[in-house]
Amino acid sequence: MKTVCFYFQVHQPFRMRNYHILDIGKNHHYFDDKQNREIIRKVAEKCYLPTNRLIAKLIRRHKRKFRVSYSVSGVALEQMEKYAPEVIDSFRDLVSTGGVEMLGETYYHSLSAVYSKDEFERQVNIHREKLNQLFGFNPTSFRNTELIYSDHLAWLIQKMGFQVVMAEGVDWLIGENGAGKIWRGRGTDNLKILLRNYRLSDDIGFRFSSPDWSEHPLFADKWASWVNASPGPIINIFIDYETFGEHQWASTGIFEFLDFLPKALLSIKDLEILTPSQVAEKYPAQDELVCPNWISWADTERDLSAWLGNPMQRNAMDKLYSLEKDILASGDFELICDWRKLSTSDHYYYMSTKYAADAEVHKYFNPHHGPHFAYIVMMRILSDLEERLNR
Amino acid sequence: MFGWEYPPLISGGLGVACYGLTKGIARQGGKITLVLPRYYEKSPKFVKIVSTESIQEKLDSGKTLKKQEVMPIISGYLRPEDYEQWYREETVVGSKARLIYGPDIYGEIERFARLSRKVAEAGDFDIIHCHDWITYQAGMEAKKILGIPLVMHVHSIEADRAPYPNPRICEMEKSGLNAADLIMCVSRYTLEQVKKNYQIPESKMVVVHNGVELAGCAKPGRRPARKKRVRQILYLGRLTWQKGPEYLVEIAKKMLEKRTDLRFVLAGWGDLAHPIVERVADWGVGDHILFAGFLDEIDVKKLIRSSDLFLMPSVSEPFGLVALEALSHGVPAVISNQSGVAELLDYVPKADFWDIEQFAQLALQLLASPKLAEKQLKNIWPTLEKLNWNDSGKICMENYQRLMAGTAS
Repeated sequence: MKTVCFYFQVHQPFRMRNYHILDIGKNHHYFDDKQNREIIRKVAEKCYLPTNRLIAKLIRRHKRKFRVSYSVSGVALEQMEKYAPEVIDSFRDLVSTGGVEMLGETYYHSLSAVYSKDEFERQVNIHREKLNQLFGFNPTSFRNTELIYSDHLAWLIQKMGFQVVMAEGVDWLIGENGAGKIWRGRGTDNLKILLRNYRLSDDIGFRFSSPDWSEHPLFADKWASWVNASPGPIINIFIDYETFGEHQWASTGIFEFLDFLPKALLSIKDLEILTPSQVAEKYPAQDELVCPNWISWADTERDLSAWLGNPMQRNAMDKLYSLEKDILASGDFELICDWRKLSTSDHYYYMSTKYAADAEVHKYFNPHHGPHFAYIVMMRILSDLEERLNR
Repeated sequence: MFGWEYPPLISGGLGVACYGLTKGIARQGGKITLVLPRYYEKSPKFVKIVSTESIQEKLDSGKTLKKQEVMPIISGYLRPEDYEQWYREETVVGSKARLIYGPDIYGEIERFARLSRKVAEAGDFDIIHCHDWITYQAGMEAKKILGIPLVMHVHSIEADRAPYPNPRICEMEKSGLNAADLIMCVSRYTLEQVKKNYQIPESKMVVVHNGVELAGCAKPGRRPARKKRVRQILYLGRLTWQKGPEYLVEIAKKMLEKRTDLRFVLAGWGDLAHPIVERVADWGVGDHILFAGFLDEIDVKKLIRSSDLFLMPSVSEPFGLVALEALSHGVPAVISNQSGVAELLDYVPKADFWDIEQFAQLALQLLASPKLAEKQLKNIWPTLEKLNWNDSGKICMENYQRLMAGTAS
């Protein structure tokens, strides 16, 4: 018996504007509303709306034998409500099919798990409330920002009542076929861990449209046969949702691929598609995952270096969290929201100075003129934030 | 007159000084035709501006490109190697740069000189006046045609600008200065540098200090006590070796060890920007040392006015106009001994650029004592009033007349 589990990451940060040095103490507006609106509108048109529509159709067509899960960050939901409310409606429609599971995460898609246990819990709870409010959904599965995980995280989220958590299938921790197993969080009673099969996931997420790839073009039945050949029993496919229509444009054939995918998979004997909580319910844990250090799905290092790899990133993030206590004590709702929006991991990702293959990815996503620029703008904003605090 | 940049399109003090000088000379009755590589504004009333680019366009019979979209100005401070890198990048991204610009800055300079000949051939002139090495060749070409006195104005020399002077630029400076009938230096400091580096006899040189615009600046009275949580300390200049930004951040770090209610703002950008930003981050003081990036004139003024102290730790500063600007707006200053303005500003505390301890101590004293700062500003005011572009223009005119009389006899 083979079980395939899909999860899609949906996230959009509140991108910062070019906050000017003379704005400090005078103008407290930090975010580029125009750019943020344009990006949400564009991605909604190219990805969210068509893909949601297609997936809802597929779930209904296959009578809920095709199922998927989503982790939609709070900041993404907030911007959809503001700039593209029809996307919220289409997610509601998806949830109503009964074939969709929504995952818990930090509302602000932050690294709070690494920096502040209390703030982490608060952000997870805010996100839980948001899912309840919008979709009437109470999440029991958890996906941390960019699959950031460690033993510490396992302990944190078990305390919060989650049953299962997603993480990256890091070869050097789990061995070659480790991603096919169900794992238990170290020191937890029975927190189950689903590990990403990065080869099969990246076939769709990264390589799909690459003409240099020997397997190009990729068709659904070919990929399904690889899934079948992959050692199981679990195959976890975790990808950015923007893969559909945004990273891989419609012209690459990605939607046709998706359209045929459930049929290709479900025609395989003894293969089923489940959501994370269904997997956790069905399978007992086979092994305990020992993961004392932080891992993630980012870059070739699979660690925190995409966000905290250089002094600029560490200085900015240290500064942000050094303000936590006073910001929260201020009771100023706007100030707290601004501070939290600045905790979104993307701002620190933009400051990365890594080279070679990874630098290309960083560059593609970077709205500023390079990592140094991202850093100095962030420090101006944090100075203003601190000034507001001391007013 | 041959210049390289002129307001509003300026990248540094050269453009500001050119503006002040032309205005000052015009006030004394001088009629100036200023030749620039490119200029898109309307000429001010007191000077006729000709751009060699427009001459080229006429030669090409009206073929025009939207040049501003490519690069509005080639900075007079751009290093030849940076120029080449910029050119390569522009070529890679497929911009039209290569249609307009040559692959190196020397080609630009040569073209400027070649097209400048057209101006010389067409006009009736008494004096040729050039500003810095990038225009020397044009001046020498013009002298060949016109046979009139050649004045080279030194705003800086290569040894000021680079720790390892570019030999080709040095060669161009040397031949230009040798060809000059008279050399005007922006300070005694610069005169000594020219003497030392190019063995030019002092008899061929005069000092013409820059001026400062006092319009909009009030004579310092009691400064209203500002109730601010942090004191703002300003650095204004390109982030490049010559200006000493590396020393500035060391000074800042020293001062932050003594008191934390300080915010340093570095306005400007340059080849050292990235390493300095990284160093500040590495020290974990990025919340106290902020980078403003490159600012326009209006924002610079606003930033000066909102500052409590100005620091200029230049490694080699031929003049240091920004220090005068800060002082004229009522911001006390500490400056390096290695600057031209140091010879003019008796009451401003000074230190050697490498003496971080001394710099920090002087700065902290000024911050701690508003009375001391007030006294400094009051004492400095008469000097500021004396340093005006009219007087600089007068010295220029006197020297022009001397030179013209000399050729006539």
